[in-house]
Amino acid sequence: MKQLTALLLLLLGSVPVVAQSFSAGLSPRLMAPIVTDATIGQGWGAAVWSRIELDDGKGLALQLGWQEIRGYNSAVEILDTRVLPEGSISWLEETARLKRLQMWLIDLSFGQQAWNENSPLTLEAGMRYSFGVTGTGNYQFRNIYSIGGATTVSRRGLGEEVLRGHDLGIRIAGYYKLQERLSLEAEAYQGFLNQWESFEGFAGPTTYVTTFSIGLALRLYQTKSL
Amino acid sequence: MRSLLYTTSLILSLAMAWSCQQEPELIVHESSYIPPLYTQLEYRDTGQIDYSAQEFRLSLPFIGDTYNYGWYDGPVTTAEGPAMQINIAHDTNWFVTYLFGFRFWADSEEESLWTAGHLKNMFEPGRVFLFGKGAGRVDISFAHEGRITHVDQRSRASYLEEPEGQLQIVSTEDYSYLHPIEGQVEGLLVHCSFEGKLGLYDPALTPVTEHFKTDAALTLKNGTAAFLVTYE
Repeated sequence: MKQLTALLLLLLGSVPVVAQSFSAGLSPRLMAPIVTDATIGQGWGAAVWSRIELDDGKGLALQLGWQEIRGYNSAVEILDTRVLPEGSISWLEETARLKRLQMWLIDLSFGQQAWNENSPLTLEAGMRYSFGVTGTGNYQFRNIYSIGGATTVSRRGLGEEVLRGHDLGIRIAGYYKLQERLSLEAEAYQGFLNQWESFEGFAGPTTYVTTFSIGLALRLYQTKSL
Repeated sequence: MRSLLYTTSLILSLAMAWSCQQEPELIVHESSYIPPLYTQLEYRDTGQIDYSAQEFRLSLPFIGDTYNYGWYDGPVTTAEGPAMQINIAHDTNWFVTYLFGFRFWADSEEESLWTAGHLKNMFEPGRVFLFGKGAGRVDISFAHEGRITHVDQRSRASYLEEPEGQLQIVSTEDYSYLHPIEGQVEGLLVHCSFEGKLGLYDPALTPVTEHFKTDAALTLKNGTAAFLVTYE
């Protein structure tokens, strides 16, 4: 987070030097993730954003958001049986089924107005880092230790035991200006990291975050001719 | 700038196509581990012409027809000095039935007993332990068919007036396993071969085994084993 804050300050600090204008706003979104078996899930998200307009219709955009996407049905079951030398037996059963992902995200993108500087359409391309990724679904861990031993059973949410917790990917987005302070936005994102932790000794399930979204970009603040 | 947009769009399209592969609904990974501990031998009772085969092997309970045997190792103090006892037993919630055992006496001059260094020195490959009691010897105990009861009725090499037989260390290796309660356990896995005679215990003669002696022998041949001694 420190690096991201420094980048944000750097961008804002450079505004007076290079920018034609600076704007900031808010975007609520409806998400359409591509989930297990290439079907379309549901979700929603929201972000605060800032844009620095440079010359020739170019710009830089930074946004911080949160989103929830659901409809996944990816699962793993690990069964491990061990006979120990003193004759005791340890059974381990771990079952996890991912249904929903929630995450924070931060985007850094380059923008370009389509065709010319007066075009109502702006296109953006950039990188996204998602952090604090948590999952909901079913998770059960049972460790049964036989012969005078203990039996432990726990049920809890999907956590860092089986999920990676962050993601890195690329996004493209388009903004169509509807009114002076309101644009229609559409975005596509592809994450490059499997959201399941890598499992030792076998190929576990894979879930890559792929999302489409549409939303409204409300400009709440703008300065011109800096 | 436009080329950046086109490049990103191309990468995004390819990545999306790649990530939309179908996944099985449930990935199942099953693994099991049984340590390489075993003892096998052939034995001949008095009056028996053919040898009978016997094998003890750690196994999964409730799977297949095999019994679940436990391997227990630990130091014991005896009248002849400190020794390392390895027992193979069938353990239920109610009874422990002893089936087989090795008792190795430490060399008399040893000071730091049962450490990794001591055990590796004691079980040096090629070393021979003669059957019997005392420093540098091994006593083998075995409950053969008909003598398997909840009372320890194992026949022992040391029950013979003149113990006869030997055990040879074939190889050793460091071995460790993760115990769910005690954590990582480390020890020495010892492979050995043995052959000789055991004094046949007869509970009808005496229930006290401490000074039991006999001439009746149970003959063992083609004995091999892999047992674990944990480091102190």
